[in-house]
Amino acid sequence: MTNRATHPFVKLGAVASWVLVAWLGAESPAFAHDVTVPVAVHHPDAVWPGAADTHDVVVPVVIVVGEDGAVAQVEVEASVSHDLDHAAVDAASSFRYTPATRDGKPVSAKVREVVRFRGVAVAAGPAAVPATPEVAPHVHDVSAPPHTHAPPEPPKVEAVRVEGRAGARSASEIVRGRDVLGAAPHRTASDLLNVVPGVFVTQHSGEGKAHQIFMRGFDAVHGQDVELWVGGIPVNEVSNVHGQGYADLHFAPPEVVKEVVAQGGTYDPRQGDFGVAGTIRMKLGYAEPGIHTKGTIGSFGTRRLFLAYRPKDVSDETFASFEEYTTDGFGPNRSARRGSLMAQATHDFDNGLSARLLFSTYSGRFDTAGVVPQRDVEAGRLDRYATLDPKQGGRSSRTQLLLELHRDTTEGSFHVAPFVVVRGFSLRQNFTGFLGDSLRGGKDTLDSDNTEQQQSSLMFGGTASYKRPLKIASDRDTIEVGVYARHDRIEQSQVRLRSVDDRISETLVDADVHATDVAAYIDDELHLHPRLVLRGGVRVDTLAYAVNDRATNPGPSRSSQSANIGKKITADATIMRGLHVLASYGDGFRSPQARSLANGQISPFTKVQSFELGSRFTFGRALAGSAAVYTTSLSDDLVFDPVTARNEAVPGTRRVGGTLEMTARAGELLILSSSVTYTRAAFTGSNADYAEGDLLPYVPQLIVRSDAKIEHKLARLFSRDLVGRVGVGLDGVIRRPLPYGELGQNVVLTDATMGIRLKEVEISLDATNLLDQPYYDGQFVFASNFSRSASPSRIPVRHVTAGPPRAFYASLTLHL
Amino acid sequence: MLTRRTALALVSSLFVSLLGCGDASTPDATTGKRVTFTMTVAPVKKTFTTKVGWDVTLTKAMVATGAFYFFDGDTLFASAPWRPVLSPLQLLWRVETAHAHPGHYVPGNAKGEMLTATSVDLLAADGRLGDGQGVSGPFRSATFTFGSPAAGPLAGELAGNVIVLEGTAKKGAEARTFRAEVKADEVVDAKGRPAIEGCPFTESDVQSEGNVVVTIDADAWLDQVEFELLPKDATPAKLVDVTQSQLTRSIRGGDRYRFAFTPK
Repeated sequence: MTNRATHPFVKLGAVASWVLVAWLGAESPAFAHDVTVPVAVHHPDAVWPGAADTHDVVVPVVIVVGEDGAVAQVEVEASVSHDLDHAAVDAASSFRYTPATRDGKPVSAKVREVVRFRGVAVAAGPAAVPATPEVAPHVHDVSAPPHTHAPPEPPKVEAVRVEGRAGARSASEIVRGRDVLGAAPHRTASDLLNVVPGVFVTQHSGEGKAHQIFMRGFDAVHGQDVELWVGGIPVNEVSNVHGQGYADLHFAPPEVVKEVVAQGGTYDPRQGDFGVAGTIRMKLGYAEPGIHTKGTIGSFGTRRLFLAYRPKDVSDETFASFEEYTTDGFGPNRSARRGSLMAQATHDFDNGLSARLLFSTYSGRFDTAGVVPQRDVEAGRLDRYATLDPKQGGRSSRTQLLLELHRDTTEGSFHVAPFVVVRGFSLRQNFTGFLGDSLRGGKDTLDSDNTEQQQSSLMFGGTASYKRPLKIASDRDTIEVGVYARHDRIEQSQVRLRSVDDRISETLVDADVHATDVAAYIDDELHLHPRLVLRGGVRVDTLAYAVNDRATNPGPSRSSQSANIGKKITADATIMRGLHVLASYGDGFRSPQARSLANGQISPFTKVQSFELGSRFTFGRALAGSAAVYTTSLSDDLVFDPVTARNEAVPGTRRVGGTLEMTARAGELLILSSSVTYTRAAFTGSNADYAEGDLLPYVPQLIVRSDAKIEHKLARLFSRDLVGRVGVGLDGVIRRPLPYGELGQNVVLTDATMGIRLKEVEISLDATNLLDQPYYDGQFVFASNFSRSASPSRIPVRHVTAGPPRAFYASLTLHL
Repeated sequence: MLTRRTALALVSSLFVSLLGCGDASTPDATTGKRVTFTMTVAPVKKTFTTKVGWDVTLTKAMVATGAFYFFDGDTLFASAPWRPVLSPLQLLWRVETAHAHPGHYVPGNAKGEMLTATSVDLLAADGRLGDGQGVSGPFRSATFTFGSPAAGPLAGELAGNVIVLEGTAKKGAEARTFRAEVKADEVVDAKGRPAIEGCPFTESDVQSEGNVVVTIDADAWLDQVEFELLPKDATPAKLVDVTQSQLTRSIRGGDRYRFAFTPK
């Protein structure tokens, strides 16, 4: 429930309903299809939470009416009091509507409504019910005369805009809104990825480097197999010197993420490069209007200032935010600092065109402790938080701009969204100590393997699409065509640095890369039967690379180009109201690192095939969820090789697994969202190092996640509600295979938050790793020589990065 | 009529049962495993005849060893085709056909190692070198270093040398009592390390515990030594200059050392 205490109640008699459905008609002619608004069929008065007042009280709410006419979501638009707000939400939840339709097809829609608490006339005599002090008269409707009992006014359509959600492409496709995202503490936008079923993220190299992402049986490293979008801009970096698909989400404060949409598999024609395990899109918005200032102090010298501003009476997608964060880190060489500014504005023009402008800039600097051999930690020779090379760390920066235009016309709807991103990145790391020189031999002294990677890139591109009705089997059929284009101009280098004076001793990479990705897709939706819908189409991606590699391959530049055609189809069968069964198939691809390509070589895409079968169920607002089984096959794969210390090509693989997720709500009091995902990833072929049927190393098999929050009014103070909340997030990674038949450490972490808010003032306390479980954040297997031995061990052994211990963060927020 | 609760129960059951499907015999682990092994050195021949006709009897043979590494890469000897095609004239003149230059040894992946420096009596039966560890897979070649400074039970007797040999050599009426002392810097490789690279390892798919035995052709070390250059009256006569060079050159040959694995 959103408590917009700063907004005064508008006008009872002239409450305008804001219907997010295109409406054809004289008053709003500009941009609707054949659209009808929701029509209330059951709209009872609310029940007073306490003693009834002598006059009516109304609570304005915004209701999301589902396709079945039931209320899917209720949000209080202007708070009256905590008790009345809750009672209004309960009452509104029981409203029933004939659902909105668009071109004859039921769609979700938002309506602006009022929930009325009818006043009780004061009767003569002792039977009169006095007004209780706790329920002060709340006559916010200045237009209506007092003590009247006017009948509810019908929703008044002021403006209409189509904002339906596209049909799911698979049973496991999920949307996580603010209620789940805000249940447990999240320190970065990357942490928010953990709420996606089957996803687990770790930060093994400092608070500024991209997280390592595991998803549905994939070790996506820093993003190579998970396509990430934030605010409509792709985040994955092509041919990043540190890793293909590198995706750094530190530029987005978690508070401005309003929604996370996750698609596992490769079933949507809109999914492109990096969408191997799936695609995750973050939508930006800030919940509350007003000015919000949040100061945080916490363990290990952590300090954070977060500012946000959202104008009143505008969409939550119009906001500005600022973040400044610094920490000394939980051990040596773990300090970090970052600052970001983000601003987004939306506007609906009179001609039906809507626009969204997004701008953000971010810069971060961090130190990293690097890895330590686990056997030294277990033997007590080394502290788990030690660093073996203090000269590790990096910086990151990102500045981006997007302009999105969207319009609905009688012929169809289109959108176009060009964007530009400027990225800067550098990283010093040393995973192997002094191994390189000791292997090469012939040296009296061994110099370190400390290397610095640098990358700067300019990326510009855009997306565009057009959707219109196209009757094939039904009047509700549609067709959409879309394009995606992206051009990256990259300068990258990797050098080895002397341990004494940091001078360059060896240049490993010195390259310019120009990469172009152009794609087009066609997506069709066929309603073959009232209970059967087919969604799917074809996507064609053309990727071109030009590489000038001055270090490893001096001479003429190399170029390579290839195309991939992907077929996607989903069958969605409605078994009964609130229960769907979906079967999905999709082709995808994984693009290669540009520097690995030979001149004229057809870019060797990894072919990806995904299948999924499952169901989605909804029991009103109380319970919703899904269960699915899936399999994903790759023609060839990549596994971290301890010899080369990078991902190397290995035989083909197959992931087989299943996921179960549910979200339960008990009114506005409690929300509980949980998921469990199991995946078995194994080789389908053999080579000298891997046998068919054996497990892929580094890929966790069982991932569990649970978010829960309780929020309740505690008291009434100074004419304000004192609201308390408690939230918990549970993350678990079970059975993580490592090379040579070993298993990595299981990790189960608990984060918690508690807070109280008295309208303008909010105090909260967050705890991460609440049970102070010692765990290893990153677990790798390779050979190293940190002791400068002339005869070091060359057998790959486990190296780890220690996860942070328990930490507390106290915050004071002013909501103005 | 199918209620939602019933449908949900059926779906959940289907989900659980599908998860349970699969071949129970399918291994549920990554490829390979870690292995351990003991390492020993086989006793060398005590009495032998060198290629230049000296009958040698060793009375003392000690070596200081450093680290041993085993790889899945083939040795040069395995990859280069050996063509023992000798014409009658070549046979008459005992000239062997020279192999074409086989290229550089590429060790490949490290599969096993024994890092404990020690010293061992080569005349003793089954001289124990130490315990090693590795990962499963093919072992095809080996590289080892001489221990400098020497460690282990014979370090004192080696007195700063990596190899000490003593014995007698007889050829016809000639007889010499000799002592050979080899220091680390006399057996360095091209990279300046006292190491022997690319020694043949009888190809073994190591999948369990076992024993790695190294067999040293110490007789081959002395194959080219011209004992007649040693003074007759010295007892023992120390190999120096030409004779020392003849010895150390032979020691640096990778084919003098052969490794084999025996599972337990």
